[in-house]
Parts: sequence; structure tokens; C-alpha cells
Amino acid sequence: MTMLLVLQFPEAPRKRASWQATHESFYPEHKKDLTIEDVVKKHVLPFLPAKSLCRFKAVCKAWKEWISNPFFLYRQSYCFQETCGFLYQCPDTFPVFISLDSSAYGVACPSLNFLPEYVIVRATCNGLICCRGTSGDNSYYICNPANRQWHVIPEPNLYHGPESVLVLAHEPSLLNFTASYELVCAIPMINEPVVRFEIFSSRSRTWRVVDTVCSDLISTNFCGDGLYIKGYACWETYCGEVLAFDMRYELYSIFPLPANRGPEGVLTECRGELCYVMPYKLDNNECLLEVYGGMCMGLKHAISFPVGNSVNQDDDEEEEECFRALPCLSGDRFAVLAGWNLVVYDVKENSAESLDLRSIYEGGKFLPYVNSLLPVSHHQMYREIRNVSAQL
Amino acid sequence: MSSPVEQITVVSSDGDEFKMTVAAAMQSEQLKQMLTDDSISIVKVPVENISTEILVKVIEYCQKHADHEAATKANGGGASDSEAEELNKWDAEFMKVDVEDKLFHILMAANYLEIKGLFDLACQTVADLIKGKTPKQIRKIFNLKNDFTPEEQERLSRQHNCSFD
Repeated sequence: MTMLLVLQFPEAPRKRASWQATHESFYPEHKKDLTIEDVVKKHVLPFLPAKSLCRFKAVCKAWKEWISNPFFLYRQSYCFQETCGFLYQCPDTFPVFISLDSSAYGVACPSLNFLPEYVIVRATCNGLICCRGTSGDNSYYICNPANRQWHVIPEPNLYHGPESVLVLAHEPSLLNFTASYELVCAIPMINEPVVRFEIFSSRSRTWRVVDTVCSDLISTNFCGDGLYIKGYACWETYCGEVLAFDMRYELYSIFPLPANRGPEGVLTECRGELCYVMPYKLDNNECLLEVYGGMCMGLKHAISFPVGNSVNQDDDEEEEECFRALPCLSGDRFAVLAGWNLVVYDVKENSAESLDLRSIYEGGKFLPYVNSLLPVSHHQMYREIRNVSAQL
Repeated sequence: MSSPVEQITVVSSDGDEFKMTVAAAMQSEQLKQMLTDDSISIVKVPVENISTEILVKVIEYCQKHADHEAATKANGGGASDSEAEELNKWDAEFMKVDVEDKLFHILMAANYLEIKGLFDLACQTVADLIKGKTPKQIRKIFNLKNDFTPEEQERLSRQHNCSFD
């Protein structure tokens, strides 16, 4: 996803350190003595996805140590924020990772079976995944399948029933040493058209019920979990409204989706802003995407590209072919599910790539995922930092 | 009153001399420091670890970005979306070099001369270049020795294969 923060490295004590983070005072530099390997390790590797980096641990011992260093891992989670695939889960099955480049992007354990129970994936945000258990307490978990790290979230104060929806908010930062995030839950009250909000903060490790209550929605029937964008948690309702919760001031606003919204459309982030993408299948096997954006949801772009003929010619039955827009991917790429094919269109390159999902697609949920190495397990991370400090 | 410097001369490691406008030179923090330091009078600046081929590319980048900055200022501030997009397209084309090695040299040159835009661009381009490579290819590119024992290597490979698809 495009940067949510303005890319500004913290000021380093040295005069000319325009792009060096403060942690790198461990590694003094003498410009003329630098080799290409030094520069690549320090400045290029943080821009690589988790799968490539894990593979590069086998280059040599120095690289293995470097890539395992917690400071490096945080740098990577800050520098690498591209969504390069989808985490996909359909009901009653384990999640899988659909990668756009399997040599570079992949996760260690997309099935999430390193968690203590079977879970439903609810939301993703910059390398973190929020999921919910299906047994007993229905606990919430935060995990990163690229490194199999996870932790469980304490029980909330309110009852989060099946109609409740959530947003995972996480902004990578070079200044924090723990993965800091917030889980914002919108809970519709039973028998009342009212929504309450409860927020879990990883800093305080507690839940808090927000004073603000929303009673202005036409319907509190949400279309699933929402997304986080620039300080707002946003959800779509079946009545075509967007509920945007301002996380800083804890106020909400409601605005309507475009008139020609439909179940094939998707609320997503595109080019740094909240957008609604509505797809249309054209006769010549092309797809037209209308991208509406901003608070007024005005038509911003109309993009067309080929999606190929995915209808099975041998089929005698008239099968309803699936056709819907999926969340946008970073690097100005739009994704559409057309029949069995996941078609990703890169606007800059003007090229479309098609992946056959015949073997896995069964009407499930697609969540854009960032292949970051962000450590999630606090014990693991503190142990690693202690080890590094002991060596210095 | 000293006459303002309009151009400076940079000398590549091969001994070739190139003139750069001050605006272009200011794209490099290193050159900028020299230009703004009154105690230094610049005649020729040797850049001893940048070859002619690479220096030509670097100067081209600096000039293009200096021109863009000047045009933006002339228009009174912010670059329009289309102008910014055009510059991005130019940057993307600029980084399409015929030989992989050139990319690394450009990266080192941008690092040495402290040209932030070019450095960031080169970092991303090199990242995209190496992300799909195998450890063996990486070792070859950076001339690294494989210091794992066969057992350690086997264990790493098994770990990785079990982990990833």
C-alpha cells in the first residue's frame, strides 16, 4: 500500500545523514571504504519482501545475522509496505496466500496453523493479521505468518457478536520497538440502530469502550470488516453508507457510496485515498473499473483492461460467473475476480496478469497482504534485542 | 564582488571532464556543500570512484531534476499531478539500463555524491532486481563466500522449503 506516513527518517546526529535512521549509529560508515555489499545490506535489503529475505539468510553467515537482527526487521517493516498478494480464506478452510510473484513474495505459514486454534482471518494491515478463534472465548489474535509470530488479545469488555466488525490499524514506525497497533471494533447493538465502538490498544494492552455512539446509520448491517486509512477506520453498510471513525478525535462521519454501487464493488485504498471501485464486464472480454474517491465519492478514474474469456465453453449449464472487484494493491494495481481468474492490472505498465484460482476459489474473502518481517511476539523480540546487546 | 559560479567541472575516474550547471550540482549534497562553502574555490572536482559512463548518467539525472525543480518554482510552487507523473516515468525509463552492473555503480555513485532522489530510486530498482534471485546468484553478484558447512546449508534449505511455498 502507498505510504501512510510522510517518509521522513528521524534526524541523526551526524550532519549529512539524510537517510540514516538513528539505530544505525551501530554501524559507522566511511564513505570511501564502502563496498557495494555494505550499501546493499544497509539500504537495499530493507526494501525486500519477507520471502526473499528469508531465502537470503542462506547467502552467508554475516547476511543471516544481519537479516535476523531486530533493528533490521523493524527497518524492513517500515521500508517495505507493498501489498504483493492476497491472503484468501473461504469458510471452513485454512487461509492461503495468493502471491503475485512466488519467487519473491510468500509467507512461512499462510494456513496460520501455528496458532493454538482454527481461526477466521478478519483484517490485515501492513504485515499484521488480525484473526478470531472459533471456539470457546472467540479470542482475537494478532499474527505475522511470515515469521509465525503471534500473540493473543485479552477479552473485550463488550460482547462482540457475529454482527460486529473491526478494523486493524497499524502504521510502521522506526521509533517503536514493538508492533504497535489498534483494533477498532464497531458493535451494532441488538434491537437498536446504534453502533458502539470498542478499541484495543497494543500500547496499553487494554480494551476501552468509546464514549461516542453512532445512531445515524440507516442500517447497522455492515458488509464485513473494514479498512484503515490515514487515521480513519472505515466500514461499508449494506445500505450503501460508509461509516468513517476518526481515531484521533473519536468522532464519526457518514457519507453515501456512489449511486451505482453493487455487491461487485469494493471499498478500498487507492492512490493514497479511500475509494470505491465498481467493475463492469464489457462485451469484448474487457473490464471497466470506475474508481470513486474522497468524501464525496466522486468519479475519479475509469480504467479498462482485458480480462480474457474465462467462461468454460464445455459447460452446458448456465453458471453465474463470478465477477467482482478486489482490494487495490500497491504500485497502482487493480485486481478483479473474473470467473476463476484473478486479474491484476498494472496501470503504469499497462499490463494485465491473470492467475487461475480454479483449485481454490469458493467465494471467500481476499485481504491484501504486505510481506513484512515485523516481529509480533514480544518475548521473542526482547530476547533477540538482549542477545544483540550482549554481543556489542 | 565575486562573479557567481555558473558551472562546475567534475572529473571522472577515467580523467574525463564534464561541465555541470550549478543547479544540477546542487542535487548532490556533497557538491552543494562545496559550492556553498565560501572558503573553497572550486575549479575542478575529482570524483575518483565514478567512471565516465556512470558520471554521464548521474549528471543527466541531476540536470533533469534541477530543470524540473526550476520549472516547478516558475509555476509558483507545487508540481501538478501530471508533471510529477511524467518525472516518475522519466525516472523509470532512466533506470532501465542494459547491464545489471551499471545499476550498482549508479547506486554507489548516488551514495558517494549524496543525491537522495537518485539513491532512493536506485535502492528500489536494485531491490526489484535482486528480490527473485537465489542465494547462489547473490553470492556471485557481491563476490561473497559461502561460509556455511554443508550440514548448516542443508538445515537452512530444509527450513526455508518447509516454511515457504
